[in-house]
Amino acid sequence: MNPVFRIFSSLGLTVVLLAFSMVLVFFGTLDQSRWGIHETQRLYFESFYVLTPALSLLKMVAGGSFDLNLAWFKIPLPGGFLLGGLLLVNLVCAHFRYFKASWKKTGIALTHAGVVLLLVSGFLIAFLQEESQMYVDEGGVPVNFSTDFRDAELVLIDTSGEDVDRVTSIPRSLLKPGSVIELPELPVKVRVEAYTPNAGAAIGANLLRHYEQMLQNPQVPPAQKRELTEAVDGLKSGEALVLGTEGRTLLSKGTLPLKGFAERMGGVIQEQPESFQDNESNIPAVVVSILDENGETIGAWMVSAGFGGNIPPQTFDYGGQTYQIALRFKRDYYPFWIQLKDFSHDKYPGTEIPRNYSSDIILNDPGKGVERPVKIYMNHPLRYAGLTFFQQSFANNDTTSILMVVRNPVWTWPYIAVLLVGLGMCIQFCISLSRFIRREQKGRPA
Amino acid sequence: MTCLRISVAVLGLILLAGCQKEEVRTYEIPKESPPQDAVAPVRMTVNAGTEAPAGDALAGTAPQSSAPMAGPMMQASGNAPMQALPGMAEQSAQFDSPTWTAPEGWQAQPLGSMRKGSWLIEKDGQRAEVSVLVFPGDVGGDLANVNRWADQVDMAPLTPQELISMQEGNAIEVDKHPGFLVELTGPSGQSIAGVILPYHGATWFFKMQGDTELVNAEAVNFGRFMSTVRFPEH
Repeated sequence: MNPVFRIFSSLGLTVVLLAFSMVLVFFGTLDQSRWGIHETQRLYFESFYVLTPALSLLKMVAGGSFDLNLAWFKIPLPGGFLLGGLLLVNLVCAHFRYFKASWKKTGIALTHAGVVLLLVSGFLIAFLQEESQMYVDEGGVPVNFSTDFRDAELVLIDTSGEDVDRVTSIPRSLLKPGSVIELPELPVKVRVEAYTPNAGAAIGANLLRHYEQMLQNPQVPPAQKRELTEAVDGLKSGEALVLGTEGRTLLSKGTLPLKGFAERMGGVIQEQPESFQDNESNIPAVVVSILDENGETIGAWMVSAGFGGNIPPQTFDYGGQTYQIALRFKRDYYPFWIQLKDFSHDKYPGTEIPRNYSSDIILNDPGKGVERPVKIYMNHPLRYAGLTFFQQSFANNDTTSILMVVRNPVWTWPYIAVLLVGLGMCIQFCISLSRFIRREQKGRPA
Repeated sequence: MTCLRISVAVLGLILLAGCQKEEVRTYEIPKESPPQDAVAPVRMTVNAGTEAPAGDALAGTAPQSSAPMAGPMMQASGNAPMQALPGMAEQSAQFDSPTWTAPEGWQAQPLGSMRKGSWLIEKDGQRAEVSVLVFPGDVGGDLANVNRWADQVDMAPLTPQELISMQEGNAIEVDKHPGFLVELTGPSGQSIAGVILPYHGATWFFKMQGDTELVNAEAVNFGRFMSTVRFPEH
């Protein structure tokens, strides 16, 4: 037997991989207190390896807090993708090494097939599943898009159409400082001058005054004072456009032909540390130049995903068209609308303990002639057009319902896998039971 | 050994499926209603090039500030956009409010995070709203600000000459500081009577907006209200 095949098909490898899986889950669970569930998922389970600060995390088990002084001691662990991949290979190889086709082993074959399907679907879900949120207000306008608050997009919107807007969306992953992004359907290009994953946008004069006042406070620690002083120097010079977390000027105005918020209100971006908490979203901001077909700069704009209705859209004209430019949390639009008729937040009588959350909505899909009422509540999501709408949360004194929208093309696979495993185990149990009964009957004296 | 190759190949294909390269995409969507500003119930303008905010001031936080810029997701609604960047209210609060006396019948409203004053007037089924806001600097200049208001009552934008005429003809003093009165009567039955007042490097906006008949009827009260405005001594 080929020694490589022997290793990959060995049951010893299975035990080692399962042991590593337990260790990974153990440290991943501990580290979740620092990173939140999504970042932990990415670091530990959707990766090939992870460097985990084992001593600091073990100290937490002993009742302490995460010790930054011990965080330098990191041990490498195989990530979820590596363990899952190796388990998959190991299971398939072991199956072919030890399995001998026989109807008596039907159950084992089915169980193995179920586990293989479970592992494969785990990979596919990690790659293909998309989650976003849909906010619908009671009595508000119907909504046809959901928003992913963990992702962002730079959009150029041509609003010249009578009934439709034409949106050109640039994903966040392309917003790398210095890069020039070609827009196939537009006569302009975008050059990224600066990008910050989490930042506040400020009026420069306001920010300067605020920092100067903070500097007057004797209780400000020396390290922060140094950062504030550096930020104040940058702001006083009138050149600072993007300030780093430590107050350093990351991007100067220089010769940038600033327009919009940056020009008219002296806009400044102040970078902030990223947050990984589950109930917070980072607010990215970007400074971009718009280039014409000849590469000449039309202007430079500062946009932030935090600009809401309080900041009128920033625009530019080119080729007889007016374009809005904005950075916003990533949106997915749908060919149907959802309108919230009523949101219910029931509590147990005489208590504040929630009993039930539910949303009565109208689903309207003119393209398919669908218009029907739907009730979404716990364990009863709406499945429509390849999407699943779960009741996630609520806001605005129970007048806004927040639906989690999940696109998962293989959502049935784990169910099928579990069914296969269950069925296989049942069949194998029945086969063993009948064999046992026959043996018992044979051995019984006549 | 063959099954090892097959399983590795399958695994490779799965991983390859995960390597989706994100690209620029263009699509069409039905026109959306302009976003509603939860702080200022008036419709926000969607004017090209007028970046002056109607409702709020902007501000940032200090490096290592105690208030992280990452805002709660609950605030970040796609349908009702974030009302304020973190720290904005704090910055707005740095402008000392003047004192004033609101006329009888003006119902005081919650101020939200940014407003210095807010009242609702309701009479005979008609409504108008009075708001007081302040922003640093000139927030885009008087022409942009007046035309933003003009857009809110569906009026055509004023030309620079028309603005100069308005400023000369409607010059007023508020607590001895010069400003000018803006009167805009829209074709759709909505009107604005307001005062734009530069003061100590900031610009104060006193605005009454609502049904034309009521705005006209309350013009005298609005004038009396403005005469009671007193800025703190500096």
